[in-house]
Amino acid sequence: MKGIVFSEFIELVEEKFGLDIADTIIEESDLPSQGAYTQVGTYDHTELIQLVSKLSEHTEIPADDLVKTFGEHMLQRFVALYPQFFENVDNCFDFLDTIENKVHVEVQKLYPEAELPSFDSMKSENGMQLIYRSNRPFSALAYGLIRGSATYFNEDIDIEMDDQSSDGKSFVVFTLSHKN
Amino acid sequence: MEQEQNLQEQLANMEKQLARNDRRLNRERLARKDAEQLLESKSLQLYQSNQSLKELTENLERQIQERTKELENEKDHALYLSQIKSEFVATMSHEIRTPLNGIMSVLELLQEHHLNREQNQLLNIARHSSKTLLCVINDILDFSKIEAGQMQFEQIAFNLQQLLKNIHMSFLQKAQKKGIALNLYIDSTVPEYIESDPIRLTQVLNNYLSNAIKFTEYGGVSINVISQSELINFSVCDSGVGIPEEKLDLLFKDFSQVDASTTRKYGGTGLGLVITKRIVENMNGSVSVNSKLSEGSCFSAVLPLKKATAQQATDLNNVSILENQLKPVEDLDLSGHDHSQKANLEPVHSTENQKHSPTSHILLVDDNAVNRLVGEKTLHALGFEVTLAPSGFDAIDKLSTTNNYDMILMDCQMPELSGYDTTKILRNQKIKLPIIALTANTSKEDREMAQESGMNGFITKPFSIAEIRDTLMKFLDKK
Repeated sequence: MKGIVFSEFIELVEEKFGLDIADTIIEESDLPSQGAYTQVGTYDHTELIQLVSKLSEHTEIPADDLVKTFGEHMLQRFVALYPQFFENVDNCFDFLDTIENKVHVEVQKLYPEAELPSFDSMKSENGMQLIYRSNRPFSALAYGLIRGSATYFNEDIDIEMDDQSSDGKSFVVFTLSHKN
Repeated sequence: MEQEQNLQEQLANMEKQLARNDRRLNRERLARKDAEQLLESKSLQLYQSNQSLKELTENLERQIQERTKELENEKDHALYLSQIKSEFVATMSHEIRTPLNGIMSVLELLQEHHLNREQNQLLNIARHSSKTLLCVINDILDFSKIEAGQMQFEQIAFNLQQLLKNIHMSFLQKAQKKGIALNLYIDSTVPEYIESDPIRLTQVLNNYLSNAIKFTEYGGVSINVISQSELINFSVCDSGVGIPEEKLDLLFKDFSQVDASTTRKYGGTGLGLVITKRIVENMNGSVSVNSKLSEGSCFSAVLPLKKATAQQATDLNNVSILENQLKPVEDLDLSGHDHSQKANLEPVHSTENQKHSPTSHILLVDDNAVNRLVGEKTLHALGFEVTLAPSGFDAIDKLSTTNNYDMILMDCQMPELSGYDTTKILRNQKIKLPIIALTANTSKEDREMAQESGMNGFITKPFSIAEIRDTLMKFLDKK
């Protein structure tokens, strides 16, 4: 998993829950990286799972909720760090439509070894379907990112999650529609 | 009071320290983020450079492919031109042989007349020149045939010892005239019969032998044949002028002679050894040479050995081309005395001539007027009665009305109806007369075609009086 997810996560924890909590969850987890993350590195995704579950223990907030919130935050960070991806789109669905064929293509240029999830998108009259496939259980992160996109474009969107995952592989169909 | 003040000072210091650490942490964090962004932008640049390089490589590869294709096309075109040229040379050589046949035959006929000493001398010059020219043309023809991959090779069983003795005999006179020895050594390991191509083997040894005799003034030349397991080695060694070591490599190369002055002193096309090498290689063998300046040279050809038996063997006397191959070009004799075939052969055959000629009637079929004229004169000189037919159709006509011929001499390459086709028609009409092919082509295919069409024998143009007489006698005797 790319380093940016880890470094942004730690920063968000520091910001929302304080340096102590951040330090504590790092100390309590058994992390091969010892919690020293950089955006350009690549780390085992189970480190994030450990960190999230420790945070959940300490804050008594369900892990899924934490990850969803983190996803929303990540979207804002992406806007700040990679504004070029948001330049030629003016709505949430159009943006989500570019993830697979534009954003991931650019990521792959920088990190040819990155194992990215796939986001097949199909737009319909009322909304769109996004099919998330990944070898890692982070559909909640995807949910947060979608939610964050809607917020960024200032749109009110319903997100339905149909989890069809099996064999430890994520397969989730997101059905998005505009409210009202 | 003082303690409290100290503590407050310590606390203030610690807070200062903490604030400093915080600022430091933030600076480090910012530095890290800068570094991360820098790294990403460098990665992107690297990616883009790689892409450009890849495109460049692809462009280069495409260019290389295009160039390679162009070169291949040019090479194909060059090969095509070379082949066209070889074919042209082959055709030309063939075309030159036809009129040369006329010249040589006329010279042969002149020889039959009673000439004075000076006339005889001039005639000998003309005969020698025409024979030399024929050799040159044959060399060029052979070379172009090899170049065009059209030279035919065959694998037949024959009496090797007999062939070697014939070759030895054919050069003996020439060697004796030069006052040098010519010896033939056949090792006891050499089988009597082998399977190979007797025509090409003769050509190879003739080449070696004529060179050896040409370049040897004292001492002698020996033909040595030895066999070892699967191989047979033919070598021709001389005590001649020898070849400088640095020139040895050039010997078997196309169009190279040891030096230009050699050409002037000794003559020749420079193709003989090239042809020899190609022939031997085509027979799955190899050639080699050893030489020492002013001591002599040793040329050899090593061929795969395949033993045969007398039962399998072809009678070499039936392969008429051999007779042609066996005849080396005679040396120019300006004395006016003829030492060649006439002197050798005429006394033996002159009585036979008289025995057959009054009764034998020959039908000569040839589309070429000069050939007909020469043929007629030659046959008349030998005492035969001759009827001429300018085409296969005319021959068929003549044979359907008259049946007093004893033999037919048939040109093979005639327009409209070839000699082979004419023969087939005649055989279908139950005409059983001996039919002898007359042709400038002597390939294996031609001989097979002649046999298939029902011809009984083969005479290669240009032919000598002695040759045509011998062949005719053989068939008329049988009859």
